[in-house]
Amino acid sequence: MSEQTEQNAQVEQSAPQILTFCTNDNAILEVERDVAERSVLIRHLLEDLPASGQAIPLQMVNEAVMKKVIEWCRHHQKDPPSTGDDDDSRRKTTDIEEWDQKFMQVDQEMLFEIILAANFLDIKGLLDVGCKTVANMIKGKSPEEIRKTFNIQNDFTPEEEDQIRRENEWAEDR
Amino acid sequence: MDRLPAEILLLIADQFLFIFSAQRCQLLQVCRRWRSVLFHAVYDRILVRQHRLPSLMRAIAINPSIGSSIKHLRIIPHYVPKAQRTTHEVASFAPLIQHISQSPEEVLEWTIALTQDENHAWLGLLLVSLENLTSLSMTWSGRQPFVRRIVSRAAMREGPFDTDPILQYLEGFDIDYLDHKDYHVHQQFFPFFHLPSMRSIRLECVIESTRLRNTTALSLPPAGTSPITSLDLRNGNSNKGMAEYITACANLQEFKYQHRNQAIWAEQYIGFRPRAFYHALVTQKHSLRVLHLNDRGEHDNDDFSDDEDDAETDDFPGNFFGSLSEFTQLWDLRIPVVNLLSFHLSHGKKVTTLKQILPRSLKRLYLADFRNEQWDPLLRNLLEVVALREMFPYLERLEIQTTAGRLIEQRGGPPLTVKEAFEPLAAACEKAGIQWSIAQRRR
Repeated sequence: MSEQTEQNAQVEQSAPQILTFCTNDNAILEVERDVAERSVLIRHLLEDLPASGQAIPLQMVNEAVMKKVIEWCRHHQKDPPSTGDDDDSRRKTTDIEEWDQKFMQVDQEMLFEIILAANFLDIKGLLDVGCKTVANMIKGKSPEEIRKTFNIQNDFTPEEEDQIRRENEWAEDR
Repeated sequence: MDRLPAEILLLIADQFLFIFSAQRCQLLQVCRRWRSVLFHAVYDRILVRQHRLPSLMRAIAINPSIGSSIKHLRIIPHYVPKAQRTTHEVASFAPLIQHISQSPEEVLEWTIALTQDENHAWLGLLLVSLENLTSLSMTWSGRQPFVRRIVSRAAMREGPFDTDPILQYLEGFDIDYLDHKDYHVHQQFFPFFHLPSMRSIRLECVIESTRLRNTTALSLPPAGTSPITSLDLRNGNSNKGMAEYITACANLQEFKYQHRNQAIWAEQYIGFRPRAFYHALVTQKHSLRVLHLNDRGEHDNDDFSDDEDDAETDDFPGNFFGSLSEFTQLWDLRIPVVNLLSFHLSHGKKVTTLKQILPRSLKRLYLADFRNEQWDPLLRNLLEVVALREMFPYLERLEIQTTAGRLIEQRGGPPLTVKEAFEPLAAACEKAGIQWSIAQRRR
């Protein structure tokens, strides 16, 4: 082992187990390292940079969202690592744990913020739960109902709408 | 919702399995942004009911980018009584029909079949329109003349596909199980062996019958030239070891075959002939990695299986598969015990032990359909294999599967359960770091 690597290893061993984060609305949050490392972004950051004791800036996440993210990471701290992108279980929309279902009972604004934060921080499990929650809100709804649910404006012309409807006839369940 | 980037929108859409075509297509009707972000993802892999093929073809006529987006197509059967079939207007497809037909008679033939809602004609037309098709999964009822015609012409680069090739990216072809009386003559699928990107074929109920040999000229590519690397034949029946399929391949890596004794329901019965497969598979000994040979299918468990019409004869009994020692890449082997162990009946005694016929590369060995009477030679041979780590350095898993419920009689001792009977092997495996298990299967 080189001298430099040895020094880094020593720094790592003596690194504080509590990390400090600064959110984009300047709130300071303290989090156990094990919990924070559910985020692949943070894990890589800690591997690459020696511990300085300074607050880690999170420019994409505000305090309220970060608190929710920490709550999720703490609950799922002991989860096994993800098995990969093509895991079929990830694709079952109804398959959300009860705790996660309750956790995701937030307003739409917060739900989307959590999804964006999970994407930014690279927390696959949380991102999956967020996407599944939105998918469940879409499931069984007509295009008009989907628009209404998410306050989306219908910007198709009547002619375009008619053409798309004809294009999709092959998929109808009858 | 507007703030969610395209990658998140794609992840949300990805939560809907491709089998829910209607729901996935509805996502494209929400707004322009969703349509633009999700279009290729939704059409990349689709499932369509057979009776909806004309609608899909019409959708492609309205918007050709649908056709170019479809890479994975799965067609599921949907029975519509003849009386309820729709008559289709096919005038809008006239230029396409004209383009693919080789005579005025053929134009008429296509037009009548499409008008009368013949699904295989619509599928034939569809295949011409899917320029990026990578995998095709379907049921195969009847002879599918229009599909065969299109695939055959594409494979042989006949006009108009000589200048305008199709199916150039097709890598996988898959036929689903329809019913237990179903059978397909193997020559029908020869054209797929010519396609340049074809890698994997999985067929249900294919029979290799010389009696039903089709008179239509459907030739295989020359031996050792097809790019197919994986063949999976389920509920099949073969009297020549599927030799035409196997020997056509340049570098077959995976061969799976499960036998059923009824070739044609209540008409023709042909038992499993492992030696025939051996003669064919030897041509792939340089590349074969996975061999699952009838570990779940029907087979005779007798030591001798004499087939009067079997032209391939050698010194080995008909129920012996053969030596795999020269299959230098083989790591996953599943085979009935009797087909691996019948060497002891060889008149010439060329082979006397299992260690002589297993390849050095072997990692997993699964021996199916163990019978009590095989216990003594099997245990002896497996103990020898496990003890020879330098000969089989990669062996990591050994499993036998049995339907036997009876106790195993032994000389000078009480009867043993299967688990007890193999305890010496379990101990030897543990010592050698090899995973050992016994799987019980109902007959």
